Amino acid sequence: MNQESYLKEVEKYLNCRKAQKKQIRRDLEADICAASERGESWEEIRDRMGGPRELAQEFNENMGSGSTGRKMKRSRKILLICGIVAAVLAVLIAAAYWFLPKSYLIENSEIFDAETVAEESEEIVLLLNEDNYEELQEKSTDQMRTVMTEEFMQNAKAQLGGDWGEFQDFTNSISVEVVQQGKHFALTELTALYENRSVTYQISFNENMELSGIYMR
Amino acid sequence: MNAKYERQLKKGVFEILVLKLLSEGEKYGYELLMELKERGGEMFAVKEGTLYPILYRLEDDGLASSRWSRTEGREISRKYYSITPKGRGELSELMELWRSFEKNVSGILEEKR
Repeated sequence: MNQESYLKEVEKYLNCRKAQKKQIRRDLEADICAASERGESWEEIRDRMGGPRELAQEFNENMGSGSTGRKMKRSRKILLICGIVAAVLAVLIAAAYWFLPKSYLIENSEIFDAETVAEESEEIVLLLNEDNYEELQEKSTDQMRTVMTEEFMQNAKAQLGGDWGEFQDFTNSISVEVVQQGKHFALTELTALYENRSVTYQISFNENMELSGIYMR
Repeated sequence: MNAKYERQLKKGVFEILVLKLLSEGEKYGYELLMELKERGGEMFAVKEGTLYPILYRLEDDGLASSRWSRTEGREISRKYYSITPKGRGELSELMELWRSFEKNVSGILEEKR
């Protein structure tokens, strides 16, 4: 075994970081060089140093603090990775939580009054029945105003099938508070009975009780 | 004698011995190996696998420092180790400790009851 393969073998069995391995290799090389300058032959040096595996093991044993330090580092690394993964997951969950709408009992709302929401929702449907777009426009958010037109709403109604007949009554109505992306909405689902069919409305208001959405089916 | 016990017993004194040798002047690894063998006999004939980890520790703790020196005509540079002022302080404290350690251990071992 020549010097190069001997040192390679030692490195292989060393149980430490790469930088530390390089340092040991350089020290051993310098040692071998110094020894041969003193007249020792490579064979003599190798016999004195012992087998590469034994030499590496001696290093490993004596760098006890170093090798446990390495293990500490490794477990710290694992801990760090776990921490990062947990943090990323937490952010993702928080983001998902932020984006996903969550609904709460309207009765518990600090922003909306259950009775007002129910009344306003019915009022919207009644205004739609009367085709009173002027007043509907007034009650709408800026965004909603752009679609709250006779043309648009008639078109929407037509898609649910022509003539609904006269409005009769509201059959059921339920309201919830929805929180999405930090914004609060009051959402009411109410069914209106007409002569020829019933229509279920989903009506939402923003925090200022402005009409912010209508869905009919 | 169990070689493990012998190794264990000797382990603790190498740091003091290496610091002592370095306190006499800067030395490179091979020189330290040879000197330990010459001055301490076979009992302190350590191998690289024991000496270098000690030197690394001394360096990490700021008790020794090292420099690579490339001399003309030599293929490989040599790494010289020297003792730092902190190392000298540590050495004198360790020597003090060694004296009382030695005295107390001998005291117990030679005690007749």
